[in-house]
Amino acid sequence: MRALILFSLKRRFLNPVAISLQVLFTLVLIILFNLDHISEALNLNFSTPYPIQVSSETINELLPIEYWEKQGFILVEESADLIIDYREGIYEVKGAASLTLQAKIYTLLLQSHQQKILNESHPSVTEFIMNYNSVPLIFDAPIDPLEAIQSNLVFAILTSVYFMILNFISVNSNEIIQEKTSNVLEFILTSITPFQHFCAKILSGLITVLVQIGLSMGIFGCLLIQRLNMDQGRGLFMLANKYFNLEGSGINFEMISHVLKLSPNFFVKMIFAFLFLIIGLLILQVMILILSSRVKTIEEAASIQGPFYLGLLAIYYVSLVLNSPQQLSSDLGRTLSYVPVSSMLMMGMRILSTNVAHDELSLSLLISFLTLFGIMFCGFHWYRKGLVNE
Amino acid sequence: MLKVKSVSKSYHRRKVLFECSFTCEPYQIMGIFGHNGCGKSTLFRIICGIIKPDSGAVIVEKDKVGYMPEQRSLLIDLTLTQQAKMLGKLRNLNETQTELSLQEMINTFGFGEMASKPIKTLSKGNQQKAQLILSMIHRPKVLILDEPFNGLDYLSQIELSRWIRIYAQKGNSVLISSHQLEHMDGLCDEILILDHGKTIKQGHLQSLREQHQQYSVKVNADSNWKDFNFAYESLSAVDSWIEVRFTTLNQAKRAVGIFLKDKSVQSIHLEMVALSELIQVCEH
Repeated sequence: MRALILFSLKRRFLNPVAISLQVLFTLVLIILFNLDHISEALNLNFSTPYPIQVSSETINELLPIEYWEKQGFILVEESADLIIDYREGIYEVKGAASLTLQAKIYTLLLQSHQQKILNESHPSVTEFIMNYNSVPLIFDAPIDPLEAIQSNLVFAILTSVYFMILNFISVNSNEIIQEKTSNVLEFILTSITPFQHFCAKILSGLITVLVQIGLSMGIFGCLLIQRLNMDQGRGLFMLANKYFNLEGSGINFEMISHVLKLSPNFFVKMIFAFLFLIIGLLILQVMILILSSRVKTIEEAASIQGPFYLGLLAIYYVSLVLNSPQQLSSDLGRTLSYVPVSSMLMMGMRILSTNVAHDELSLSLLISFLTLFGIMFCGFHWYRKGLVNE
Repeated sequence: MLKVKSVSKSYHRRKVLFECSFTCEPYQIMGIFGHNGCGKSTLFRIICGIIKPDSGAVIVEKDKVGYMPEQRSLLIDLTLTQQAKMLGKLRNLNETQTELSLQEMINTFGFGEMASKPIKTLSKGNQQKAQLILSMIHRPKVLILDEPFNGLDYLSQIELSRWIRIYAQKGNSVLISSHQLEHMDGLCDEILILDHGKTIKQGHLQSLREQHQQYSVKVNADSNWKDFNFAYESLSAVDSWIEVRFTTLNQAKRAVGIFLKDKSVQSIHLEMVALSELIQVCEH
């Protein structure tokens, strides 16, 4: 049994693909852990500081400027959309139009307030604790809950489709590996050319995803309509409310049904967002087809698919972090919406949450298409050689 | 007809085929021989269009070529019928054509009910038959068989040899590679012998035998063989026999005539020397 275990482990870890990927993974981690040094050395700056207008009196009531700059803000004296005033012991914030921005400002103002409290004397511990934990703060731009729900709903739909796509990518890869290991390719390639085989795999992968999305959305849509007609989903909502305090957060079913009344403009945006998802899918399909054609064993196949998933999961988490109109429109968000594969989610989210200029949209589409055709054209040679083990 | 013109191929800078040229005419069965790794399978894959040669050309209608690889190339979860339908579509055959062709093959090879069972449930020999049927579903004009006798029982091997002969007689070209030389001996019209990718001998089997002392007459060792007077190439003792080798058939026949007149000769065998020996002689 020991010999069998050792044999199996050797095949899993000591194949060229696993070793190459381990080296690549190590390099990526080294880069990530030293990103600040690299960014400094290369003088990279993806973020533009967010300006906050504060008067000279208010600035004394805030944390030092360095704290604000570390959070991506810059304090200016005039002409900013976001204004903070300190009057009669109360912080007034004007123009913070997103929950994420409000949360960041709240944290900084709370720290400023707590710094102030620590320097004051208090008649009792109780009063100290009460004052310490609560900052007198007013936001004058309440968040439109409908917008927030719609934005989150859109994100949920996009990421669901994204993960569905990830699942189907591996199916194509496994098919090729099975054809190679069972030697069926020899038979197939006497009937069709390697290029026809290549195109067939890409198209069958794409059609599978589209059919699955269509099926899923169709079934979901039918059940939703049925439920809305029945009792507008109140029974479900009441069940959910037992475990999650939906009513306490201000969400009710009328709100959700209002959100679902999508405008034609929104539909057009959804179509573009899906277009980016599909192009990203095709790029990933082609990449994994080419890599899979070079695989000789099942162990190598497993080594390829794992890091692919990790990379795509990383894109998902980055999109989670940048999930607000301000962050999507920041330099980092814009850059990622041009990079192929990451534009699958990033550009989709930008289209649905903000207004994207036509030229930006066209440029990102062009880059994605060029990448797709470039990989197909350059990679087909490797694919053909890999298929026939040349 | 199949024409191969100066085909060469290298893998990772190692040359596996050196300017191989031959023609396989209709009605002809050509045997490709050589030790393991001499380039036979590479040659077949080039002819089928699976890989491209580094230089040279293959002149054949690609959709008229049928190829049975040495290794199993079957989807084991599917039945023969299902795979035949899929391959028929890949070959641009309509359903009726595929059905007719499949039924003919099933009847020829006595496959019967096994055609509707998953391939993985069939024995090795029946899987080999299934593979052969699939390689011929489109009735190719040029049929390439790489080790077709592998896994077959002796009767099936004989049956397959007979069937290959019939297939060639219908105006088709057949290329075979096999180590079952006793079957190939009576089957091949032309042979091609490869050694490390180089063609070392090629031509009509009969002519090659005549070139290489390919006739022998065996008589019992206790006959008066020493007294016989005829020209021969070599003499050797094999078990209780004396084997006399001749260059031509006529010489061998003359010797047989002399032996027949002598009462001390109790039995005579006139043989063409086995194909295996011919190949060994050619390789050296």
